[in-house]
Amino acid sequence: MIYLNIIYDFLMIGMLSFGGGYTTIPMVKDIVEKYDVLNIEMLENFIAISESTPGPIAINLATFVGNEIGGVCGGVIATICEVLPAFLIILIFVKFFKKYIDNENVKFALSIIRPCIVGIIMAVGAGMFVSNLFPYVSEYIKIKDNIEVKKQFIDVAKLIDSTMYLNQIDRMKIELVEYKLIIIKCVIITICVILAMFLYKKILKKKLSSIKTIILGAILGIAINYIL
Amino acid sequence: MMFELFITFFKIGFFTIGGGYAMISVVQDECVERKKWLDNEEFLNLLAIAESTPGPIAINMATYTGYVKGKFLGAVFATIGVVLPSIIVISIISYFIKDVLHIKIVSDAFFGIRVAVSIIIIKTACNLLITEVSHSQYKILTVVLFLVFALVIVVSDILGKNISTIILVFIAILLGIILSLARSMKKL
Repeated sequence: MIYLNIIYDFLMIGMLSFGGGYTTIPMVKDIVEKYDVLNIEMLENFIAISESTPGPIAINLATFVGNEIGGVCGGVIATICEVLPAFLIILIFVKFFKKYIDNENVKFALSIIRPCIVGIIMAVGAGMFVSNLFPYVSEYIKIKDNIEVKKQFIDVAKLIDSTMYLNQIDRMKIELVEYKLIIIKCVIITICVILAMFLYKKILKKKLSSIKTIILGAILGIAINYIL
Repeated sequence: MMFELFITFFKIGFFTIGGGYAMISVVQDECVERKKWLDNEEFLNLLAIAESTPGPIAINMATYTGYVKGKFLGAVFATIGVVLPSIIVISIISYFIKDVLHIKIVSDAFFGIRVAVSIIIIKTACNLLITEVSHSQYKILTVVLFLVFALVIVVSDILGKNISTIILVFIAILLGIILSLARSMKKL
């Protein structure tokens, strides 16, 4: 039964992913949420691995997620299903529709579809960026408010028994420092990566490839956790 | 011939890291320059088709080249060739990735990698948008469509509702067809 679901979901992705790898990311995210097999953090790890291992990102990601849902068989089935629509569409295209590729109306329709898809990709990238930061920021604010409340309690309880509240505040303050550190680390890595992209382009007149960016991210992650 | 198609695309699948767009130059080098399976014009046609049909670009290119050289069977062999390295490598990795992620230095590295990946995706979207706008005759319409689709997802995320991406893509396709029809009517 689970295989039937995999077949349906990945056939859909294969059929609707105009423009290659990045378009499949939001769709795969939907699937992961539907099956509840991975958290968003793990999915982002998978995306990074898919980008830095051989083969098209879309295929790597399909194999990964299929594997997660239904084992090795699931991985193979998901991959085949994602490939099948593209395969058949090209065959049909080459046989019957090759002459329409220069058609004005087809071109115009595609020029409408493409920006919409770019918008979807952008929203997903932004969402991912925020998901690295947001849980910690909201946690941080929550704890900070909590400390204020507890402090008011101390004023009221004053001489009766404030040690319990003081202990709680101490514990919260430690958590607060921890979250603050994670947020700072995120911001530093972001600035470093963007700066590196910019300098690389300015100095070497080439764009920093995805793989080099990912390697840079890994080095920064290790370095910053080592230093701070 | 079938075996050669399979081996060539297996090699292409195995040695291109970074997805479909990285693959374009490798396919050009292998199939146009070295094997002379396609000429340059045919390759550009192939690119146009690959970009405007759904599915991973790598698959589109493999199927097309395979078909041109060896009809249906050629297409099958080339496509299997280009997919197989992914299946093998990823299956092996996903077998032990979860254990490896518990090691501190690896999880530290992935902390940085996740930030880097989100920046890469945002940057790719920016580049794609710039290309779209500069090629389009209707620049404002392009930007508006981009903004509307991006905002719909962002707002629904904030509200905690999930809009299926597949439905959004369907809407985009529908919009494309309707606007294209409307435009051709107006011309007549």
